[in-house]
Amino acid sequence: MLTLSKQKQKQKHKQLLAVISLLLAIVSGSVLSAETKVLVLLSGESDIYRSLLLGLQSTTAATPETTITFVARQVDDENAKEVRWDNYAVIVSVGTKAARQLLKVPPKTPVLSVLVPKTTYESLLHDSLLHEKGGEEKGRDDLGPDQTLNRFSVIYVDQPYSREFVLARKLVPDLRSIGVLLGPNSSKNLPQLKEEARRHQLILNKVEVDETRQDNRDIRDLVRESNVILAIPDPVAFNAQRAKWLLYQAYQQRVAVIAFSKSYVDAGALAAVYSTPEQIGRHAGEVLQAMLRDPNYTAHSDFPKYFSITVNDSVAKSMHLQQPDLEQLRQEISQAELLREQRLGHGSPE
Amino acid sequence: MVHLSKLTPSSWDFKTRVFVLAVAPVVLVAVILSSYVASSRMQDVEQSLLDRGNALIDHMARMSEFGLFTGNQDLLTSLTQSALVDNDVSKVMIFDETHSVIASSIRSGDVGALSVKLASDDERNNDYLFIEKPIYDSGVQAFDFSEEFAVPSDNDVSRTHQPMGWVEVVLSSRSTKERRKEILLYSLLITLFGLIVSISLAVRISHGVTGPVRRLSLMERKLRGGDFGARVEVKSGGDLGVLEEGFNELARTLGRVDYQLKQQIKAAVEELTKTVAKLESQNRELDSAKNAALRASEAKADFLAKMSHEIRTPMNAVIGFTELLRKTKQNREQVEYTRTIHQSAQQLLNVIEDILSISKLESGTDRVQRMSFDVRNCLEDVVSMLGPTAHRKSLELVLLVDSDVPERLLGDPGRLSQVLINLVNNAIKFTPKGSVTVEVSLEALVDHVARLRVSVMDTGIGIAKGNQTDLFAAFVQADSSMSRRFGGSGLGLTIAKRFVELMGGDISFESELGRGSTFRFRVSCDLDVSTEISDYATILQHVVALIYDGNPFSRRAIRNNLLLAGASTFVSRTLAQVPAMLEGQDGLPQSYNVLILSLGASEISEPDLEECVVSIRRIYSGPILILVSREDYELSPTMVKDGMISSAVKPVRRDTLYLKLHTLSHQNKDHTGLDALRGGSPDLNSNLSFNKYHGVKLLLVEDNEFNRILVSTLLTQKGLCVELAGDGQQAWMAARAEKYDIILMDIHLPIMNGEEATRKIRTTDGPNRDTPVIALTADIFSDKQGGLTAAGISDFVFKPISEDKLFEKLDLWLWKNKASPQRDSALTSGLYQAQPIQEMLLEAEGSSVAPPPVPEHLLEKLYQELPLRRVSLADAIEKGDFKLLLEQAHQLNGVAGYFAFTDLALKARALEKAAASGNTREVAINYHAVSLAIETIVEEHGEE
Repeated sequence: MLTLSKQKQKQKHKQLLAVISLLLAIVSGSVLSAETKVLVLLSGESDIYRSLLLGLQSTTAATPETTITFVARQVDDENAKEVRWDNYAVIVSVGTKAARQLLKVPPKTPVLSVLVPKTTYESLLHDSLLHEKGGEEKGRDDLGPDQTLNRFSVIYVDQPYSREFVLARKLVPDLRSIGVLLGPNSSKNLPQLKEEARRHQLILNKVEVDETRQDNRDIRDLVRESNVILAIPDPVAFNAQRAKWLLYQAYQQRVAVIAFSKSYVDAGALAAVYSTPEQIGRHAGEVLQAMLRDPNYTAHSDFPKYFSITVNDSVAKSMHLQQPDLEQLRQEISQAELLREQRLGHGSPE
Repeated sequence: MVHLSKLTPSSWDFKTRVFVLAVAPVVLVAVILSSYVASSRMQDVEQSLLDRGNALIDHMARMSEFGLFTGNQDLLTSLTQSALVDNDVSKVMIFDETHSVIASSIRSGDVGALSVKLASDDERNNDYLFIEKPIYDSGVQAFDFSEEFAVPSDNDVSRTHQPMGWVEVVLSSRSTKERRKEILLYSLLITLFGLIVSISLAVRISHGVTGPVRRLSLMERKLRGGDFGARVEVKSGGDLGVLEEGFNELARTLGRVDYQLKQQIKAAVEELTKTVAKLESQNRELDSAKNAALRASEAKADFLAKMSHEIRTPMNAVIGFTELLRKTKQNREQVEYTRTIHQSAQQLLNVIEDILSISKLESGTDRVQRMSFDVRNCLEDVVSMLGPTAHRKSLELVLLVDSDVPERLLGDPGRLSQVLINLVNNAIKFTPKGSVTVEVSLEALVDHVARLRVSVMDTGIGIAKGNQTDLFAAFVQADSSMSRRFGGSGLGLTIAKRFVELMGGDISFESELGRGSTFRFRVSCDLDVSTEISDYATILQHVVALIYDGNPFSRRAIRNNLLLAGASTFVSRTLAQVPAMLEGQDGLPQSYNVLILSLGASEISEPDLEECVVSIRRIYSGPILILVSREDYELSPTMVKDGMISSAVKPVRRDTLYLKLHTLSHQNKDHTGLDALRGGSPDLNSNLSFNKYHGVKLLLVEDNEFNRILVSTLLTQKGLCVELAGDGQQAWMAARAEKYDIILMDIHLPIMNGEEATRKIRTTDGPNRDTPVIALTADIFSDKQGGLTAAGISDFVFKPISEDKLFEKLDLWLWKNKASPQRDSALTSGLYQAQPIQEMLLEAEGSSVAPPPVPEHLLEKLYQELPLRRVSLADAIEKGDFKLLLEQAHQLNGVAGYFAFTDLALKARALEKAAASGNTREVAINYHAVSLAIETIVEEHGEE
C-alpha cells in the first residue's frame, strides 16, 4: 500500500517539477541546450564502478539525439565538495557511499542512484527526508519532501526475491520448503518473502541472526528442515563465517543454496541470479536518457532490469541435478516477471 | 727424542715424505667431508623435526578451525589424538580465543612433557621443541559488491583477524638428539674406518716405494764403501724392480771393473818394481862404471902428469945436454947427429905438450877468461912471434886487420893467441913457398857484441878432398906420410878447434890440393867500452906516403894502417915503378914525404937494395922506411949515415909503424909536412924533445943478472945513465957516494934487502935522501902492511917489468916536481895494457930499432938463460915448492914478455897461475907448455 501512495505522490511531484523546470527554462533562455552535462559521482576507484560507468556511457552513446557530457567525480575527491550541482542536468551516484553523500544534503538537481542495496537506500532516504523536514523548519528549503522524493531515482543492487524463487523452483524439482537466514536489515522484508512463498506454495522457514548470537545450531536446523536455502543479502546474516557455515551445512545435508551473487556460487552455492555492473550501467543509461528526455520524469525505484544466472557445475553434479539451459532459464524468469508486472498493472489501481 | 729439525718438511726423510704425501690429502678430505656431512645431516634432522612440527601444526590449525567454530570438543580431541601418531610429538593442545584449553593430548609415559612450561613460538626447551600457531576463521565471501553491503559501524573486519584459538605442539627432541648422536657416531666410525684403510694403504704403498729406495741407498752406501759384493733383493715390480736389477748389474760391473783394475794395478806395480829393481841395478852398474871411468880418467890424468914429468925430466936433460954438446967442438957428423937428437927430443916434447893440452881440454878443466885486451896487439904479438919462423922458410907472413875491427874487446887473448899460433904454425909448416896471410875482419857488431872472423890463408900444399873430413880429429894429419915429412903430433888443429869452441866460436876450412888452404874461425866477444881508446886518426895527418909492396895483402895491411892514422897513401906494385912515381912521371903529385919499401923474403939481396936506395936518393931526399922479412937485417953503414932511412921487420906492428914513420918525419927537418905535424901537435912537440932521459942518472939495484941486463939495456937505450948494484949493501954504498936522479930498487936482495937499503938511504944524510926510490917487486902484495912505503919507497913497478910501466913511473917521478906533461894517473900494469900513442912516441925517442930493441948479446944471454930457467922451474916442481915456482914463472913471464916471446910469456903466466892455485896437475901441464916454448925458442935460435 505504501508503494501505491508513493507512486501517486511521485506523479504529483513530477508534474510540479515539470512546471518549475519549464519556468526555469523560459527564464534562462535555454532549457535543453545541445550539450547536457551529467555529473557522475563515484564511491571509489573500484573497477566495478568503472565498468558500470562504461556501461552507462555506451548506452547513452547509442542514442545520439542528445550529447551528454559526463563529468566523473569521486566522493572522496576534494573538488567534489565544491561542485556546483546546478550546472548539471542529472547527477548519477554510483555506490552506497556516493548515494549517502548525495542524500545527506540533497541537491535540487535530479539524482539517479545506482548500485545501492534496497534496504540501505530506504534507510538513507528515510534519514534524508527527516533532514529535509528539519531544514524546512529553518526555512532553507522551499521544496516539500514529496518533491524531493520525486528527484531521486534509484536502481537497487538487489535482485527481486521472485527471481530467486523462480530459479529455485526451476532448479529443484520437488521443492516444498524454503529456508531463509535473516539479519537485522533483511528481516524487514519478511512479509515480501512470505508473500512470495505463498505465491509459490512453499513453506518458508526462517532463522533470524544478529551480530552477537551463537546460532550455528539454528542454522544447522534450518538447513535440515528446508529443501532449498535462499540467500537474502544482509551483511550481518551473511558474514564470511556464516556464509561458510551455511554452505558447509548445506553441503553436508545436500541442500541447495540459491544465492544472490556470483561470488557465493563460486564459494559453493548451487546457483545465483545476479546483475553485472555493465548490466546495471546499461539499465542506468536507459533511465538517464528517460530522465533527460522527459522533463517531468517521475522518479523510479527499480530492481536491475538486466540480470544473469550462474550455476556451480560441481555442486550441481554432486547434488545430482540436471544441467539447466541458463539462457532459457533467464528468459523464463524475465517472462514470468513481465507477466506478473502486467498482472499487477492490471490489478493495480491507478 | 725427536729432533727439532725433523719437524720441518724440508728435513723429512724420503719415507716420511711419501707417507705424508699419501696420507695428508686423505685425512684432510675425510675430516672435512665427514664433518660437513655430519653437521649438515644433524641440521637436516633438526630441520626435519621443525618442518614436521610446522606441517603438523598447520594441519592442526586448519583442522581445528571447524571444531573450534562449532565448539566440537570431541572432534578436537580426536584431532589432537591423531597428532600423536608421530613419535616425536609429545603433546598437542588446542586453546580457544581466551587461551583456555579446549582439547589436549599427551603421549602416555612422556612425563617430561607434562611439566613443560608453555613458551613462545619456536622456543626450545632442553628436550622439547614448542610450536604454537593461531587458528583463524577463514570464511567465504558471499557478496559480489561487498562494499555496498558493508555495515558502516560493523567491526567485522577486525573480528576476522582475531585468532579464534591456538594450537600448540610440543615436540620431543630426544629422538633427534639420539639421531644426532647416531650420525656423529657413524660419521666418526666411517671417517675412522676410511682413515685406517687409507693409512694402511699409504703405509703399504710408501713401503713399496721407500723400501726399495732404502735398500738401494743402503746398497749405494756399501758400494761407496767398496763392498762390491753387495746386492739388493729384487722384490719390487715395475720401474723399481728395473732399478734394483740395474743396481745389481752396476754392482757386478763395478766389482768386475774393480777386480780388473786391481789386477792391472798389481801387474803394473809388479812390473814397475821389476823395472825399478832393474834400473837400480843398472844405476849401480852405471855408477860403478862412472866411478871406474872417473877413476880411469883421473888415473889417465895422473898418468899423463906423471908421464910428462917422467918423460920430460929426462928429455930436458937430453935437450940440455944436447945443447951443451952442440957447444963443444964437434966434427960435421957429430954436429948433424946432435942436431937430430935435439930436434927429435924437441918433437917428442911437443907431442907430449899437445897431448897434455888435449887431455886438459878433455878433462874440461880449461876455462875461458874474460878480460879486456887490445885486439891488434894480441894479433900482432902472434904474428911477430911467428914471423921469424916464416922468414926462415922465406915465407911472407901478413897480418891484415880491417879498420873496423874494434880496438879493445873482452875475451881470452891467451886462447885467441893459441888458436892463431896453432893455425899459423900449421900454415907455415905446410907452406913451402909463398905467403901466409892472417886476415881479421869484423863480421857483425850487434848490441856491443863483436863477431870476429879470422882467416889464415896459405899458399901451401893444400889438403886432398878425401882427407878433409877428419882434419880436426885428434892425432890425425892429412896424410900419414905427412907426419913423417912435417912432423908434429897432429894435435894442433884439434887444440885450435877445441879452443874456438870453448870460446863459443866455430872453425872451418877450405882447401885445394896444391893451391893452399884457408882456415877460418869466428869468435864473438863483448866490446870493451870501459877503457879509453886511443885516437889514431890524426897521428899521421900530414903524411903522404908512397908504398911499395909486392905482396898485395901485405900492401893492403900497411896501407890500411896508414889510412887509419890519417895519412895519404899511394902504392906501387913493382919496385921498378917507384923511381918513376917519385919523379912524378905517373902524373901524380910529387909530394910524398915518406917512402915505404916493403920487401918480401929473399926478394932482393942486400947489395941490390943498397943500390936501389942509392938510386932513389938521387930523385928523393925524404925519409925512407925499409920493411924486411928478416930479423937479422941491419942497415948498411951508408944507409945509417943517411940518417933518413930506417928499417923494421915484417910483419910490422902498427904502433911500430907509426913510431918509425913519426921518427922519420921528425928527422926530416926540411919537410914542411912534419913541421906542420909538429905545429899541429904542440904537446907532442914539446914532449918529443930528443933524449928526454939524456943525462938522467939512475941506480939500478937488482941481484938477478939477467934482469939487471934486461932493465939496464932498456934504460940505456933511452939515453939514461945507469949504474948497477947487485945487492942492498952495494946500493947503499953507491947511494952514499953519488947523487942519482932516481933509484930502481929490487926488494928481494941478498946481504941487505931493498927495504932495508931504502930505509938506510932515506935515514942517512946522503945525496939521495930525497931521491925517488921505485921498488921492483914481483909480489903485488909486498906493501900490504905499508912497510915499504914507511921505509921510503916512493912507488912500485911490478915484475915482470913492463917497459911501458917502467917508463911511466920514471916519467912520473923524474918530472914530478916540474911541469910534467905526463898524465898523473897511475896506470895499472898488465901484459896487454893499452899504450897510449903519446907514450909510445916518447918511448921511440931514443931508439931507432924496434921491436924488440934487444941487443944481440942480450938475446944470446937469453938463449943461455932460458934452459937454466927451465931447469930451475923443474927443480922447484920437484921440490914441491910452489912459492919458488911462482917466482920463477913470474920472472920468466917478465923476461919472455920483454923479449916478445909471446907464446912463452903466455905459458909462463899460465904456469904462474897454476903455481898460485897449487894444483899439481895444472902445474905439470903448464910446466910442460913452458918447457916446450923454451925449447922452441932455443931450438930456433940454434938453427940460425
